[in-house]
Amino acid sequence: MQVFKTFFRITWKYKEALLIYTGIFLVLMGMYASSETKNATKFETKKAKITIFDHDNSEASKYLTEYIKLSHDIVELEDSEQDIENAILYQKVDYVLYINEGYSKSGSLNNMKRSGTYIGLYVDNDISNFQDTMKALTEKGYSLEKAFDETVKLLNPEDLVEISGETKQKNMVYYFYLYIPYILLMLFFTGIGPVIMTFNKKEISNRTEISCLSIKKKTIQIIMGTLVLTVAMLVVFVLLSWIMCGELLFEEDFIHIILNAIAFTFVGIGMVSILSGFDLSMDAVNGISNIISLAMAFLGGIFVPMDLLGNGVKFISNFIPTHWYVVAHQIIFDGGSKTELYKCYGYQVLFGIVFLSIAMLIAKKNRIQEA
Amino acid sequence: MFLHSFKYNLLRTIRNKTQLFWSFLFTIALGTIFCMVFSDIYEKNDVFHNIKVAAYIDEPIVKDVFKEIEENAKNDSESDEKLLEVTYAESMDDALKLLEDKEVIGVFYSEGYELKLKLLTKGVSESILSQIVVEYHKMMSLQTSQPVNQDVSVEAVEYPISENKEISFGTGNNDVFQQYFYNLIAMSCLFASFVGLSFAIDTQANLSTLGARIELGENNKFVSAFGGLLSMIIVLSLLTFIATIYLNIIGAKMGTQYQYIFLITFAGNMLGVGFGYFIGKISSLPRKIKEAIVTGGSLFLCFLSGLMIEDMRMRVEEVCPLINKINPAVLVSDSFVSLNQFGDMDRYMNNVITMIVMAIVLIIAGLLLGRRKQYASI
Repeated sequence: MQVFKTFFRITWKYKEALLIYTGIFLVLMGMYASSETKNATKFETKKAKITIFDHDNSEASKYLTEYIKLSHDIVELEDSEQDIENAILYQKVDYVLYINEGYSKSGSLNNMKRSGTYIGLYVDNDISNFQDTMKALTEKGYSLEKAFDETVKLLNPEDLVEISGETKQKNMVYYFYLYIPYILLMLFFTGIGPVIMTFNKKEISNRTEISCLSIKKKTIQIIMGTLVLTVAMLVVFVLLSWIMCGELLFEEDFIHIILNAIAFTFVGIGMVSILSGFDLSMDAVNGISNIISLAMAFLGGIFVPMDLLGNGVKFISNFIPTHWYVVAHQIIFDGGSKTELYKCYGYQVLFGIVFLSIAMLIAKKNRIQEA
Repeated sequence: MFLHSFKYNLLRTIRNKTQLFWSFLFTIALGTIFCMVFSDIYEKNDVFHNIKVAAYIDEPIVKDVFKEIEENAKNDSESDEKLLEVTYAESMDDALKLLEDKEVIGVFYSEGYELKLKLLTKGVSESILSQIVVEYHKMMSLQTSQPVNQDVSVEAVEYPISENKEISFGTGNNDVFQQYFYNLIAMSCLFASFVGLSFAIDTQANLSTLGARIELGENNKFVSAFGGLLSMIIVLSLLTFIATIYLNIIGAKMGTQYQYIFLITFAGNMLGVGFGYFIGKISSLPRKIKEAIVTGGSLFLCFLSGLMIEDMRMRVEEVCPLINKINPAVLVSDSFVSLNQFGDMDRYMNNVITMIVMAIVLIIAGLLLGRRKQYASI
């Protein structure tokens, strides 16, 4: 068991890096801590983030402000050009409305928004609908107060719109296990990669081969070490998810969440095995592992939802294992065919087998070259 | 002495593969990934395109009014582009099939004389569709409602109405995802701190053998350090500048005012090198700890600027605006924003000058910290 023990001694040397990656992951997860599970079937209009500067302060402008407050979220901003431009660009606000002096007579309004966007058009329409309805009602003899009450009723679409699909808000368990492939890859590259690379180093490998330990036993012990470390990492993350998410964890299809993570470990181990076949410095491993993990996370749909990606990227992502993890993850949380789910597990395991085969080929080529 | 130090540090920086990787290749690789992922997002999801809907309206009166609303609904008061792209289905089942297959995002249908809407989910486009139903409902209600008897105690007031004019700002490019690319360049600039740190450590007798040799020499340390730092800043600025041009070529819209872009990369790298140099000279902490401070610090500053989460900068602004005023990553990304999105040269110059002043302060502080050191034993 010497190789097995040495495996963990080497891993221990990289404990700081492993802890840093885990820490960053937990901080990121902490940001989703306030998310709750909520199934919504009742239609509600989108609440835009609006800042209002009322320079008129008339009864008419107050009714407009009141209506906007009822239908949208008000964001307070200082009336400074730079603050407003920043807030619009960085999407702190969607719409800035200036109610000009004399509004009660002229109806003069100005706005700043991200030009040509859905949200800008939506708020434009909402304000214009309010003004049209108020004008029509006041023309019919309604007082401003009564017209306002009637307008609010008329402009409420809730009873006229029905949602046929179920909108499920993502909870913390969703995000925890969505990001797991990224963190697992980083940990595999940092924790397992250097160990296998150390054993593969020419001097160490030659030294071990002339000892009484057979290559078969050495390989079995390295595989055992890899498996134990992988299982340990998975157990730690399941425990962490249980601590952070509590009961929520068991509301979802827990077994499939774990099966999906296990299927992905095949991919991770396969990739690390390929990387360890090359004689690389730790700096090079750091660089390559960062690029591979980030590429897989971005293109596979972990950091950016698949729906938002362009068609070209969606096509490419079919050849990226994380894509199949994410698809399985969405089936588990949003519902879908179990056959599709098992297919996704299958694709991940297949990717893992292909990667391991490539790693074995590289190892064989290295041995032939050395001989 | 200046030229000697300049030349050898120039060669050292060019031959430093790790530095070249993090400042140049990593930026290019991550930029390529960002470009694949983010280049379409704003255009696809935020910028207005016709909303695809289906309609199955069997009541002729409702259908006529709906068609009138559809004809008049435009995406802008000054534009002829229609708001809706309607597919009139043969049956309700056909319409619902289009909805389930996500070919359309909503189905308009009639229930008696009422126009109704069926959606799959909630969102901005869906809310715009709900405004169509409201418009119909409002038209019908107002047509059928009778004028009310005016309360004599209340003065008749007609609600005002006028065009809601848009005030345009900046260059019209409001793509928030663009700032990921700007922050990537900020990261490349801050990674220049690695060479600044190495240079500081390699000139300290208690931390490196090379430092011991340099300290023994009779050359002017200020001139020598100045030459070394300048060569690093020039090499790394050029690398970051080339990375920026590459991002432009692959479609990241980094701007075409290359003289101003170079000034950003120069000031950003100067600040990066200055930051690393200052940390390197700040105390006799082991090299590993200093490296961890510089790496963690650079990434943390980029995180606060929005490299990982696009609205992080605004969250920081709410809590402590001062951080955004002095965060080097924010200064670099804001220089790009000022140049490309707001077209505000005053703000751009303010950022660049702040970076240069901060860099000079850090470098001078580093030089002062390294002065007149005596070692009892090395």
